[in-house]
Amino acid sequence: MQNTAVFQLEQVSKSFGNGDEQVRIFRQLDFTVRDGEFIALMGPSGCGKTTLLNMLGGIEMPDRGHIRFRGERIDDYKPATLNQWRARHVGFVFQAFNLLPMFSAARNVELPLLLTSLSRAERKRRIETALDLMGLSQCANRTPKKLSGGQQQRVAIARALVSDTSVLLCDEPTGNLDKQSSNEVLTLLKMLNRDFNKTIVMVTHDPNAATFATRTCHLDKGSFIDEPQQNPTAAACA
Amino acid sequence: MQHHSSHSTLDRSLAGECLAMARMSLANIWLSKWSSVCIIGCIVLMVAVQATFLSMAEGFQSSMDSAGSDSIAVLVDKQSQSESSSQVSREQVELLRHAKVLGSNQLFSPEFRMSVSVLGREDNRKMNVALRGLTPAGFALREGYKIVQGRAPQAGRFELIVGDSLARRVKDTTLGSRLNLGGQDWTIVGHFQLQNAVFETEFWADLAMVQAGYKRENQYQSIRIGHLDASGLAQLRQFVQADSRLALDVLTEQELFREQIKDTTNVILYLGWPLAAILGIGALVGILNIMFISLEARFNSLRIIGLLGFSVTSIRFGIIFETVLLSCIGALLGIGVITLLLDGAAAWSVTGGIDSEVYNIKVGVSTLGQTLGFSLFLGLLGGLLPAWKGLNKESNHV
Ligand SMILES: Nc1ncnc2c1ncn2[C@@H]1O[C@H](COP(=O)(O)OP(=O)(O)OP(=O)(O)O)[C@@H](O)[C@H]1O
Ligand SMILES: [Mg+2]
Repeated sequence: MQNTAVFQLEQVSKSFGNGDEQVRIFRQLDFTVRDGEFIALMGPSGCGKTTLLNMLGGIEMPDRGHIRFRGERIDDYKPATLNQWRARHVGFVFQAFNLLPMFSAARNVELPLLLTSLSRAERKRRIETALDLMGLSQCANRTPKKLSGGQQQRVAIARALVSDTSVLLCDEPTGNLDKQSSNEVLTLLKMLNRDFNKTIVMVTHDPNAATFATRTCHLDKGSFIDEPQQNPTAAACA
Repeated sequence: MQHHSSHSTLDRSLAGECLAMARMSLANIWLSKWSSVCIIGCIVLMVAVQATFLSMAEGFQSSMDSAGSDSIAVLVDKQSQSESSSQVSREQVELLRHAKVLGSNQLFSPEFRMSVSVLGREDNRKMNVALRGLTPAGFALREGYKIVQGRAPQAGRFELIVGDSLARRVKDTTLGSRLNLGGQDWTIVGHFQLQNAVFETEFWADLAMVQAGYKRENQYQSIRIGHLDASGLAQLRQFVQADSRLALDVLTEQELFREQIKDTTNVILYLGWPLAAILGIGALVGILNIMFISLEARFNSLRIIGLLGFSVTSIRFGIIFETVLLSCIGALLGIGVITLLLDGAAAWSVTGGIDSEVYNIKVGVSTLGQTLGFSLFLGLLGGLLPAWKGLNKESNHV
């Protein structure tokens, strides 16, 4: 299980803009995410971490090269197919502004389920389970405004979990949090990775956050600096 | 939570997505109350104006449809196209009374009309209405004339009867009440109705008494002659034209009435519609502005919705649903307010001189349909544009 590739980037090139203003982000990048991994993606600002994560999640498309998900190419999917694929396989957590302000925590978590044909009762059960797992049972009916940053982020994770996708993509999920809230969120992510076999790719600037991952990858100037190593501490935990 | 791998449950239905987006719009309407209130306000304002003039037009139209007879001739002096400013002399009246063109079965009604000032029943506001002096032939000429309370005025007495429509709006018009008009005390002895309530707007009394009350014994305003067929009317016209002493215009009652209300009709046509159109454009611009700002503020929410896999179609549906719902609320509110304020109320409009004509404002199906339709159209436009322009730039990935 540990060795099956979930994502494979093959010779991926990506640039933004055109003409003189063109900025090349990646050039023939190879990258593999395996089943059950918890990857911390690090690197200086502007090096393309978010872009990479967005390509994994099918939000950005590569200019050249292929992206495979469990062996199947997703880079040639039509937008509608990609939407379905994403709803089915990928959960997203962002740095901030994760939640819809007009909805309660429970309603926010419910959103991905509205794209399914699950019954109301089943949806309710899943929302409760997800919120419970994130230690938020008490906050189900609060709107984001009435939640702390850490709680908001945990609601976002609950939403990423609720449709039970095998992959979580997190873009600086602790970027806005203090140390204690960070650790809570990271502990939960690690638990999801270890106990529920979620494959997680997490962008972070925080070396402390990286210690929760099973592998840390350093991006700079469009490529990985060193051959990505297994995180010794996290590996021991796994 | 352990991998249910429930892929089969993830069959998407656009209807389900749209429902979810509609729910989001509802929540958003509540969350961004002020934007919502502004949009509703825009529509209420527009609808209020539109419904006002439409209901006026509707009431007007329904009053108009049966107003005025075309077999009754009204003679007024050549200078004035309306009754109130017309002057007809006793000599002219006598010339016509004995004219050969008129058969013996025709009713001949010289009339004297004064503008009198009375107080509104509710607001105590001064208003000008007509006091008309009539001979028995004059009463008999009126279509559907009947006394519904009390009795007819007796000759030789300062007695008044009052039109039912007017009685409801003017103070001191119950039977037995006394009204001082032009320095003379009059007693209300009856209420009358006519076939068309539009004409129930006058005080009627015995001709000689009105002339005496105002010390104008030899003065008349108009002469009504009925009933005439087309050839009778033509003969009368010829006769009047042939005699230089009769510098009078011969109109049918219908023509006279149309002439009098022409101004009102024009106001409705030339002021009402453009006003509604301008307000409509204003409302649309308002809605568009608010929606673009509101979408800007929702940028992140919409992005997240897109990332979660909701289709652009459903997101657009949500936006349009929001504006259409808001304009629907606005329209109903606007119509509701107008109905409360105006339905059944009498519109007083100054026509043909200084007298007020009355007709009932009617908030009917036509008014309702047109305003609701117009508002929904604006709501649709106000949603469509932002839904397309607002989403395009940010959702190239969805
Ligand atoms: N849609 C876009 N259009 C043009 N340029 C873009 C776009 N998205 C990203 N870029 C550019 O690509 C580069 C990489 O951006 P990216 O967001 O992936 O960086 P990052 O590593 O996530 O940075 P940070 O740590 O600050 O979040 C940046 O120079 C950015 O300005
Ligand atoms: Mg980034």
